[in-house]
Amino acid sequence: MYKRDDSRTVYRILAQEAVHQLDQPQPSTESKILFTNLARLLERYRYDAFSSNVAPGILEVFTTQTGTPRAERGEPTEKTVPDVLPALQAAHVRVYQTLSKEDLVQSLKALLAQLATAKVHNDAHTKEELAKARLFFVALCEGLQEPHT
Amino acid sequence: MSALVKKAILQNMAEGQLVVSPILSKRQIGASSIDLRLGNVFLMVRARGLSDVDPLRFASPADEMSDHAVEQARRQKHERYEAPFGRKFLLHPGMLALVPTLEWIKLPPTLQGIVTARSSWAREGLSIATASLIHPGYKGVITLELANLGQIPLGLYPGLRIAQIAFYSLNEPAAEKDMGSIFDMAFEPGEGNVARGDECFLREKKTST
Amino acid sequence: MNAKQFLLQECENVRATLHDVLRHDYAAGSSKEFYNEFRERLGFLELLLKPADPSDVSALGTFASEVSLLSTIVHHMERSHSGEFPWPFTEYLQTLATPLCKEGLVDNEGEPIIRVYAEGGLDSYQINLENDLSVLNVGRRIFTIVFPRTLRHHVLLHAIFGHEIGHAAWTIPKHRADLQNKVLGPLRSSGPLTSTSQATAWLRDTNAPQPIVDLRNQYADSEYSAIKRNQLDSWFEEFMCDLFGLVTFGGSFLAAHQTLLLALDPSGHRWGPYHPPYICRKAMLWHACNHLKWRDLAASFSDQFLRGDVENFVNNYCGAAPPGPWEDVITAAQVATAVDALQTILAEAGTSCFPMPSESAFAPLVQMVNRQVPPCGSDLSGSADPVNRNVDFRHILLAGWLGAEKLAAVSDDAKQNLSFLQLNKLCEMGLLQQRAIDLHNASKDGEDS
Repeated sequence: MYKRDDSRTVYRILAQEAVHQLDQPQPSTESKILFTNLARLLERYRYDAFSSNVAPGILEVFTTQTGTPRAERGEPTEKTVPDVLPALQAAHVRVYQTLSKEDLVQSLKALLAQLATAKVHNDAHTKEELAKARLFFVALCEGLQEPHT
Repeated sequence: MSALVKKAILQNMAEGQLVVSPILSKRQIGASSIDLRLGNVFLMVRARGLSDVDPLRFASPADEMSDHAVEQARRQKHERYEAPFGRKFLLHPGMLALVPTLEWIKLPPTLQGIVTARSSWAREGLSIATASLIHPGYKGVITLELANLGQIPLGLYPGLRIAQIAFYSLNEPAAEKDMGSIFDMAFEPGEGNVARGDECFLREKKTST
Repeated sequence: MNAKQFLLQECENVRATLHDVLRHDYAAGSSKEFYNEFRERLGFLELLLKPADPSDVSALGTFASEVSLLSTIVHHMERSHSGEFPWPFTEYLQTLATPLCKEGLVDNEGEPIIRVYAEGGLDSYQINLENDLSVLNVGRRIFTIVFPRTLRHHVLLHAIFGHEIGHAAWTIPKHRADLQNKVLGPLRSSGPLTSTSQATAWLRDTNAPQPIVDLRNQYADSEYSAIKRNQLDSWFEEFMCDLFGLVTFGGSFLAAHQTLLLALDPSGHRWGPYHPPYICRKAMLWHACNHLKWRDLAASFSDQFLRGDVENFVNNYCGAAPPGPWEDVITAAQVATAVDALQTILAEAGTSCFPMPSESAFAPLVQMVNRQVPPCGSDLSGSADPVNRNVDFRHILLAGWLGAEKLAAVSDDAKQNLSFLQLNKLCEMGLLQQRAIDLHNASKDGEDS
């Protein structure tokens, strides 16, 4: 399995970059990746799919000389994002308190799609939505700042 | 011994004696032959490989060459390319490639086959280096030795009709002990053994003075 | 050179390696897909890395992991070049898996890039999914399918990938929600594995089969026979993926599953942190086979030899007798509900479930295997105008497995028996020829029109 990194930092970086892009839109292939990954995050939030516990392969092979289970396999640790989910929920409540999770995700994804394809509608409603989206990502970013010790 | 016409070919196939699989189009079936298509594997002699084709290398390794050396020489002789459908393989002038047919052939003991190039490709400079004789009882893909005798590269696409096989009836069924060769149940081209049975000619006999 | 400078340099190294990777040819999807994806990822990573504060150790640690991951994946791309795996099989597998694995992202699509490479070890069948939760830098996800190098040609065993499709589906949040509620929910609703305490008691049951008792005694550490929550979750995901395998690949999955798992664990009783004992998996599959009416398949054939072959196969791989009480951890009703839900989820996603073969479609394939001819929809009737059939590749695999059951038996040349490898190569060839048939049948300007 591919080993990955600290999710708190990752989503903080993404949220920061999202705010930057909303302030100074620069449509590019790089920004598309940004919005794609944010859409992934929102999809996980929508379906509450934040745990990851994938087994290596179809079965385990016990091949040590004594026949004991391979210690290095360890136990499956459920990888969750304990910090991201509360940060998302807090940002949701702070900025979109009247929207359901489903509506929030659909609304934000629609905006991200416009941003990714550089086809942002030039109307008052969209501008208002973009401003709210910016507040959302600012709130998310704040929620993911490293706790001060 | 006589060549089979279309009706006889199809009758042998209907009776299950002869297999040419798959025949994708009725146009592959000629008056007395069936067109064969290019398969997906190309074996080319590796430029940095062996210095020469030495029959001694094929001979049973005694004290001259180790099993490792024989096998290494065998494996490193060719570069293998695999092209899916829709992908072109370039055969450059002067090059020889071993390629399998797409079709699986199965001959009864009463028939032998002879494979030649299709004239449309021959006119472009493509040659099947030898007229391949397919012995009675054979089953497997047929290996074609394709050579480019022209001056410009030939673009070969797997699936193209490239050769044709004609069938000849034998005066009597081949004996079972005479059927079978190292190429049977071939799934892709392999090299032959040019020394087989002739090892006695490969080493100088020491004469006492 | 500080960490940030080194990471920027490593981005360049990854870029250079990516260019090197293009030395090879790639089948089953061109190199253009992953080349473009990598370029975009590298571009985005550099965009974030260049202005990063060299003292932001948290961010730099993240970037280091990203670069390392790209370094790993680009190497795997290099190993996925032509000639290293049976590409016709992989193309069919992609056709099956891709609709299920589409993500609903910004442009409403998001098909994964699927690559295949060989790895050492008989247990190396797996699929790497880029499903880590820390998703910084992924446009299209790259699914890498891994199979044992020594089993390259063994397409009959590759039916095991039906199980891996389950893991892939699990990574799609929309599917995960449905799978959690409609498939896993019923499987976990009752039985001895509903909680960790019950599962532990079950494992320590004095009435457990003797091999289980022996294993418990063999491992002095009692922790081995204590089931933990994450372990139980993993076990049920494995049960679910086994159902995926059966529903997508049919009988070939059962045969591959049994052959591989029992080869690696002949006792069939070992358990581990991720996988339950094989006997429990087989017990569940026994119920699933009944529900999917595998035992009725033979009766649907009029040809007595074909009927006998299918009966033999079903008895061998579905199981002739009901499972024992200890390993029968999931009831027939639970399995039936889960299977029905899974079939619906797959159908809605556009992935086809295994279609039970009709005699007219299946018998010719079996006959071809018996005659040592690559099984495919080829017209062998000797017609002047051959009509070749579009055949489901999974039926080719099933015909191959029926042949495997009697390697030393029926053929038109009884003295020449195929080895298992030759049989696999025959079926591999059949898949290749079927691709040719499919292409030819689909061509709009066919030469016969």
